[in-house]
This record gives sequence, structure tokens and C-alpha cells, in this order.
Amino acid sequence: MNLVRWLTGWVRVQVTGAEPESFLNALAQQNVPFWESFAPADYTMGLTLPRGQKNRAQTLAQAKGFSWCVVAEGGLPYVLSRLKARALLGLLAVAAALLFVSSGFIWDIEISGNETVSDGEILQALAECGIDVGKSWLSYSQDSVRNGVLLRLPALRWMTVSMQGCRAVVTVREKRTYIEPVPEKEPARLVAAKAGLITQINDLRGTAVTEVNKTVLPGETLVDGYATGRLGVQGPVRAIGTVYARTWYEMTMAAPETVSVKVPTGEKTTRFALILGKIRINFYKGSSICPAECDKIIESYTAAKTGWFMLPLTLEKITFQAYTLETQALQEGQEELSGQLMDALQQTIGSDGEILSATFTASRREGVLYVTLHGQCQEQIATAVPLTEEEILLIQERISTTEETDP
Amino acid sequence: MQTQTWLKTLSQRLDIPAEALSGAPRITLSGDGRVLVEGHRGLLEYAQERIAAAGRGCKIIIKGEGLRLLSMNRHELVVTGHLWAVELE
Repeated sequence: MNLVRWLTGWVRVQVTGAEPESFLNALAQQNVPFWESFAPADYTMGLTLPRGQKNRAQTLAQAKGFSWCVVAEGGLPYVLSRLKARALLGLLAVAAALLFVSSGFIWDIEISGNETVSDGEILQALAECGIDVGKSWLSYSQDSVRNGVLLRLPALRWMTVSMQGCRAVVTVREKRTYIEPVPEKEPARLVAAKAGLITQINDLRGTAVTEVNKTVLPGETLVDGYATGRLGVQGPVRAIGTVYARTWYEMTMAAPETVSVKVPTGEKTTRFALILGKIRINFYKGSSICPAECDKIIESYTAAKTGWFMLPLTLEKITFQAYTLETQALQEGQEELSGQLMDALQQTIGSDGEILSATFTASRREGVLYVTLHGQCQEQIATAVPLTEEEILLIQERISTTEETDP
Repeated sequence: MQTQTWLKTLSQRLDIPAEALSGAPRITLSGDGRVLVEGHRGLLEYAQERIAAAGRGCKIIIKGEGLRLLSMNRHELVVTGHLWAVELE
């Protein structure tokens, strides 16, 4: 049998009926090739047909009243179909074995609940306690891991590790730091936090020592920590109140007049790597360091179904995308800087402050755009400062002096 | 039949192969194990000891033992086996 016939596949059939030669003539007339025809007995004939002509020949045989029987089949298509079925079964068996074996190992660690302690610190502590990617979780003890990690990370107050398939889910809670509240009854005075022109004074407790339309400097006392009444000085007290003042600001921001913009050249290089647990198999030569002026995009495909199973198998696709840097003029740079300056000013004066007016000036020097904001605001400038022992003694002396002079 | 005779005579006079003009079958024997018949008109008999094919104006009979039709198409057929005789009727 020649190679072409083997490649295309063949079918050995046996037909039975009167005058078998008429069937052969019909095949020849219909251009159906056949070979190795043999007549083992009267009214019986065997012949070999190409796989693709089987149905056509069977139709012809049935039309002429012959019985049809396939004796054998062979050739590459049949070999491939058998191999395909075997390969599929083999793959299923390998996947099942991998799933069974890998289910006893940790292939991913998920950490939640941490704010100040980094994932890296927690992973390091877990690794020291036996919880790491690629390690078996069958023999780990929840208590020993928790105690070990809490001893290594004092900033944590509680943690738990639970297994979800091959994924270790670590939940932590951090210790909270409480700010000691300032005692409300501690004597204090209100001083100016910023320089400004006083516009309004609301002294709910204490004695105002400044007045409207007066300019104050930072640290200057606005409301003192004693009370006065018909009987003179009383106190010391904790001064309470608000003092509004008009303040002025000058803020400057700078930005380059031109920016470099990445323009893709269209040139792309794609590389693949397979990660089996902690083993990385690169399907490329050299390193994966990104060449100059090139973006590196990594896409990972893990053999996992969330919540079902996870295999230690990850296909990594690395794409290098070349670009050129083009210098472009920065449009609307001044408007953008002005907006940023207004935001910065509002942040400086706080939410209860009000911007009364704002003017901008712009200048350009050596390729840099400078925008300056001159702003006039109204804001609360009083802040409480505890009275010192000397100040308290001084107030108490004034009280005693008042009592002595009062009849 | 007269046309066949005339074509046969013409091919003899012009000294060209008869099958070119008259469509007469051409039979090629390779030893005693293989015979090629070109220009046949279909099988007439098929058995292990005897295979007969129609030709233009004649009948080709192949006799032998364990004869097989190795391949066949509209124009030619190949018979293998132990050949005893090729006869024309």
C-alpha cells in the first residue's frame, strides 16, 4: 500500500451479490478508485477503497443489490482518531492526578484586614511559621501559626488562617492606637494660629483681649483663660470661642511647558513562560528585562476556578510594546495649575473657611510655567493653648488681690 | 465494424499504433505475474482463475491462478497473480 493511500486512510470492504464484476464496472465508471480486489468465492468480492469514497461506494453497492460489509479500516486518520481519544483520556488522568496531589499544598495566600502592617511582613512571619506557597497544609496547626505570627508581629492583636481549597485565607486585626483626649476642664487660652485681621469674636468663656479690625500675629492671645464679672477676675478657666479673621495667602505652583508623550511604534514582542509552583520555565532566550523605551505588559492565566480548585500552573504572557517619546506642548497648563492652587488653598483654610477673592499671575522662565495665587480668605484662627503654671499662679494672685480690695 | 477495419488498415499504412486511431486495447504483460490492460470496456467475468474484460471489437480473457484485480479505473485495469494465458476472442 503506498504512502498516499495510508495518509488519506482506507477501508477494506466485502460485497456479496450476483455478478460482482458489474459493481467493479460501476465503480470505474463513477471514477471511484479501488485496489486489491479479490474474489475469494463465487458471488463474493473484497476490495479496498479510499476512506473518502466509502459512502459513495456503499450507495452504489446498495443500488445494485449487493450486501455491504466493512472488514477493516486503517491509515493515518484512524490512527489519529484513536490517539486523540487516548490523549484526551491521558490528559484527564493527569489533570485529576495533579488536582489530587496539589490539593494538599498551598498555592496562594490571601491577606485581608491589615492597614499599617504590610503584606510582606505578614507573609514573612507566616513563612517562618510554616505557611508558604508550595508547602503542605495538611500538618499545620492553627494555634501554633497564630501564636507564632502574633509573637513576631506585635502590631497585630488577632489573626486566623483558613484553607479554601489550595488558598490560605489570612485575616488579621491590628492594634489600635488611641489618642489621649485633652482634659476639657484644663485651663487654656485661645491664641491666633495665623496672622490676620480680626472680623468677628465669639468668646463663650474667657476674656477677649483683642477686638475687631485689629491685626494679630501667630501666637498672639485672643481670648485669655480667665473670666471677669462684677466681682472682678474669676478663674482660671478654659477659654472657649471662635475668632474669625481675614487672612491673605500667596501660593505658587510650577509645571513644565512641554511634556513627553509615549507614542507606540506598533512593534510588539510576545514571550511566554510557564510557572509550576515556584519553578519558572521560560519559553524564550535571554532575560525578561524590558529594553529601553519599551512597555512591559504581563498577563497571567492561572489554572484555577475561584472557590472550586486551583492548580499550581500559571501561564505568563509577556508583551514588550515599543514606543517613542514625543515632546508635546502642555495645553491648558495654566488652568490646571490654577485649579490645583484653589484646591490647595481650600485645603489650607479648612472646610469652614471661605475664599473671598483669588487672583492669578503667570510667568514663564526657562521652559517652566509658574502660576501664583493671591488669595483673600475668611477663617477661624483661634486655637486653644493650655495655660502654664506661672500664668495660672498669676491669675490666682489677681483674684486674691481683687478679693482684698473688695469691701 | 467496417469503420474499425478501415481505421486498422489506415493505422497499418501510416505505421502508427492501432490503439491511437481505433481505440483497440493495449495489453502489457510483465512476466507471468502482472498484466496491464489499457482501453478496456468493462469487466465481463471475475473469478480467481479467470478474468475477462471487454475491448473494442474483442474480448480479453486472462487465465491463471489466484488472480486479483489490483486496480481498475475507466481506462485501465491491472491484474496480478500467477498468469497462465491471455487470450483474445
